[in-house]
Amino acid sequence: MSSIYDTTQLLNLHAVKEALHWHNQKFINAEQLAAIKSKYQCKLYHPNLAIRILIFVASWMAISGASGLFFLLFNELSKPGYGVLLVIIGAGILFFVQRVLIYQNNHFRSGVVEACAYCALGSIVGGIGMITDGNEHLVLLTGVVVCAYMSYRFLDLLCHIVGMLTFAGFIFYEGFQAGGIFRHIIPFMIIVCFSVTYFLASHLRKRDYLSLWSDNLKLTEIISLLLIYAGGNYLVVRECSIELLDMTLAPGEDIPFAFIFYALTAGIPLLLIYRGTKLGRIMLIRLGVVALVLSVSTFRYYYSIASPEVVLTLGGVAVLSVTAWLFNILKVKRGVFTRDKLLSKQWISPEASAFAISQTMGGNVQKTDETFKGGGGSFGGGGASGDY
Amino acid sequence: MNPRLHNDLLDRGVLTPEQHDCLEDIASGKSVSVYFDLRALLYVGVMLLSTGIGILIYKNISDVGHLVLIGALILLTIGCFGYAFWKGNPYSHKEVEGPTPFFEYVVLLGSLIFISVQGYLQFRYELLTENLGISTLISAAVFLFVAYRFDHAGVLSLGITALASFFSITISPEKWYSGNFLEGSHVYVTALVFGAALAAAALLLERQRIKTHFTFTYLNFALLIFFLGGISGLFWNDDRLWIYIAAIYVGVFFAYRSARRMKSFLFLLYAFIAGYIATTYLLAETILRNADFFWFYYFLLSSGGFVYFIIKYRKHFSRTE
Repeated sequence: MSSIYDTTQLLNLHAVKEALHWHNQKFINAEQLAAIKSKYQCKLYHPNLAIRILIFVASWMAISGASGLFFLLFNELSKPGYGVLLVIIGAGILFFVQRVLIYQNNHFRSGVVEACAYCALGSIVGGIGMITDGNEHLVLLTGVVVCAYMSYRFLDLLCHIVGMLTFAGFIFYEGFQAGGIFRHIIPFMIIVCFSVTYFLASHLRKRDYLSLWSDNLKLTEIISLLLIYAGGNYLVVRECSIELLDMTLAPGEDIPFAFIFYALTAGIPLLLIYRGTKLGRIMLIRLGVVALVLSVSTFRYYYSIASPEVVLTLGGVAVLSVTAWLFNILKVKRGVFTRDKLLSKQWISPEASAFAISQTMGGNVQKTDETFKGGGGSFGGGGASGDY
Repeated sequence: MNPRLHNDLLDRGVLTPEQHDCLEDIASGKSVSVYFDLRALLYVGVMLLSTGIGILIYKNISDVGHLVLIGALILLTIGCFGYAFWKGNPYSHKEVEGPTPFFEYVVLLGSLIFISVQGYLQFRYELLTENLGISTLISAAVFLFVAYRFDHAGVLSLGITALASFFSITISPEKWYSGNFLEGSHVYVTALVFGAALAAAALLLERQRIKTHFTFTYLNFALLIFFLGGISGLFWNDDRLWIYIAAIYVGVFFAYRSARRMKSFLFLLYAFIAGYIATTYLLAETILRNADFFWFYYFLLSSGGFVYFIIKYRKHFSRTE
């Protein structure tokens, strides 16, 4: 059993997409693009993101309408009966997606596929919940299994993320239910489990025959590292212990193994950045920087040394200074890193970037008098505030 | 997905050896670009700094040391724009590339600090206290000038939102969350007129071949504001139902034509959502007012029909990414 899609078609689609990107970057000429398109012909229906969202929303509404009508026919059923019906419907939808949409109409991430797949996922998990009268162990486990199936067969990345987070929830829930010492070692269980998934995914990503799942494996690495960090972060562990595990701490008292969590909070980001720089893996550096920001926020939360505006200002100066320094030293290639664009894909389009600036950096200048009062109004200058 | 694609293409004679070597370096991790990472950091840095400074000025507006702070900010603003005028390429109606990778962030920082300083001076010296709307217009004018002079779509967006604010139309994340974009019932019509005027200005500038790459940004805001005005009016002004319905349908037609002309699927998305909301509301208020059961059929048939239509006529709408 492999992916539900035709492997050759997927590889051809990938080749054409890469070629379009190279052509947009003026790396290859029009003749080369045409040659690639003719050699790697692709019949998959794979619209762009906006159309996909449009189709997804419309499909979701159509499915909701159909489900409403359908369930009106069975309004006499008992709760377990409804559960069985939901599981059957979920399996039926998956069968429809596979036979009609994918095999007959060559859909690949078309919006309809996702809408039907998520509906099937919800039906099956909800159905199991109804049949088992809300047994959390089984519901979580079913969620993990169905998401893993969707990820493996349908190459669905959202299901992959949901599946991994559900798996983390499953570990947490089992540790919580076991009680005693297990409650205290939940963070370590998370760290150990996701360290295994991280190293496994890193190992598997090097295999050419698994290249269809390269995005899924990359996501596994990213989510595993984030969960490892979350499992070791002092703020997460302390607040979860208090809120979810009902731990009561006297003034001056700290959580068990606090020194370990302090060390992990400080150490993991630095380790990620160090390993990323040493191995030339930009993903580790990116995660390291994100973790570093979270760690600084964690320490600032418990040991505040300055007001938020001073921290923001100094943080801005620090980030700009470091970036200017990096721009300067990367004029020439250092190790594997360069400031040149090479063939990197743009993260967001210039138009989306312009819109994001207007939504995050102010500019919503209100003319109403009440908004402009020193010492209490909403004057915020050029900051992220919507009011000015 | 296919790590050997460049090897296959070399074997088939599609890529030259130089192109293959370049791709091999990237695929094997011998060359890693941090171009977009550094730009993202610049964005975050500018956001943190401008936010921090905005709050800092606000909280210390009456303190003795504020003059030093304001002096420093004025110098920083002068420094940013001085750098921009010194290093920047001359104005052209066409798209102008920034001379350095961080040029656009210097311009953005200068613009954001400028409005902080402008706000402070206005409060401190009670300039324009009788007519604060003029201050908003000044901000918009400065943003628009900077956007055109230094070819900056981000600052153009700030200019458009500032101009919209002059007419009491606010588009910001918290407004998206609350759904309260317009500050009064009369503003629904203002939003419709403002959106239409903005679209007209965009098309006029495009026809004059002035910064045609800004057209998308103009039309994006124009359509958003127009549809938000129309839909808000539809929900809150029942007595003018047909006027708002007609306005939305005109907007949908324009958005559809713009989507086809500019190959923008985002505009098509706007057209679909606005058209669907307007039609559904119209039916709910008229022929389907008391037909609860029929709604299941409506959602099924309308959405299913739309999906069928868009897939059936995929050549008009779809393109491989």
